Amino acid sequence: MNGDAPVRIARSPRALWRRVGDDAVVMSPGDHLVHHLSGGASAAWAEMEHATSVPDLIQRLAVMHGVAPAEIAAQVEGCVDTLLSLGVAEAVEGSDA
Amino acid sequence: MPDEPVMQLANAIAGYGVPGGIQREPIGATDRVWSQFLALMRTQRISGLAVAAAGSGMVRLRDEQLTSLLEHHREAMAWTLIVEQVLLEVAADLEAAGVRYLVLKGASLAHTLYPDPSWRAFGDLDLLVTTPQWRQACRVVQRGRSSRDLPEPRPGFDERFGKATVFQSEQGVQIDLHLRLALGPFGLWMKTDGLFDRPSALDLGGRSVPRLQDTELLLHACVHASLGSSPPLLVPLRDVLQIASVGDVDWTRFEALARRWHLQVVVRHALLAAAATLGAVLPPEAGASIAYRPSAREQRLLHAYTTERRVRGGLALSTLAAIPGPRAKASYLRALVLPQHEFLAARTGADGVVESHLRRWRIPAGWVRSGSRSR
Repeated sequence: MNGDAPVRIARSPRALWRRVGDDAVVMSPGDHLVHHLSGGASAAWAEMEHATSVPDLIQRLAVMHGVAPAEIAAQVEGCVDTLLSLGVAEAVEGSDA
Repeated sequence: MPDEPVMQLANAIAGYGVPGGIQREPIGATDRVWSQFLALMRTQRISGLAVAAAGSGMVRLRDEQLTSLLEHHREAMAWTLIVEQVLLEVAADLEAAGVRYLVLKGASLAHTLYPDPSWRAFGDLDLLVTTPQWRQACRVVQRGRSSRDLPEPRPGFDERFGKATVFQSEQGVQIDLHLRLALGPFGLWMKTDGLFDRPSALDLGGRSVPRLQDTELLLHACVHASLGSSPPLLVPLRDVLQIASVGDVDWTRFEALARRWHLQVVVRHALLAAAATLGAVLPPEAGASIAYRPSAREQRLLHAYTTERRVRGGLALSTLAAIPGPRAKASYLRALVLPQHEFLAARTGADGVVESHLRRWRIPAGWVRSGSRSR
């Protein structure tokens, strides 16, 4: 494992979720709480279908929304932290294919 | 019954995106139609198809209509997640106890046959278990959950004649534990224990859950569409088209199973009803099933499910005819007219037991009267 590589994150395979228009609803593994993701959170969720580093995620979302990465970095990092704490996203090992 | 424009909108939405579906002009909805449609959408569980149809432009909605649709759909999808969580818990319990099971309908269709699982909403959990493990399965499902909604009419009734027993999780999710795939004669003729020999898998929540193969899935969808409700519900009809069009169906085996289980009349009815209601062209492989010509007896059996005979004892009567042997027939009849006290009390409350007993005699008495009139 490369210790210098940034941590990559992805949706947890144990998370249950559904699309609702542009938004999504997700459920943490093992509980019955449903969380509603909208706006930037649902965009981040969509981009986390495959493992990605947080800097890459910020870059892609910035391009998508036509803003500078620095403008959204804090919100994306906060969103990722929340998804990780809910257990619907997880850190994954290995590098990009 | 909803107004005709409401049904037209619902049918068009239920048929949205089905392979072989007809191209439609974009449809709008007046406030009156939309209001009725929202109520119908909930009972028919077609919010996902409505969102997809609106997203494609096939249904033109004003902003406030789209907002109300998305609110309904969010609720529906949140509930499906809760149902799936309960499925994962029950699956773990059954596997730990060594009980074989297959997940039916709902999640097994949404995740494997539809373009996106959000298209296929569902409200409860259906599992099929084998007859030898039926009692054990009931104990496993009941453990830590509220009890079954109704006791058996008489001891042993479930295994011999029943379709499913209903449990409820603490979240309010209904769990239908099936022994058979239909009530009545067709349910008795389907030998479901063989379905466990060749299951497919559904990957859900990091777990592999066994489900019916697509061929048997289509057969069950036909049974559910034709025999489950009258008139047929839209989502079961859509399931029929969806599986027939995109499923990995072995049509030769499908026809053989339908023949072996006396389901040809049911399959034909379901396929034709699905195509007519949702405005779709059936795949050519379904041609032999549609070309089947049912006998007068088969038509009568089907009508016991699809006409008002269903609520006038027709289903019980046709079940009685299908039960082999006089002892088994007598046992079935005894359970119908003389169910145990606990069953009646659960259905009617303790005060209604005597009245319920009397009421249960009226239907068989009616059979005799109508039999006399018809001679």
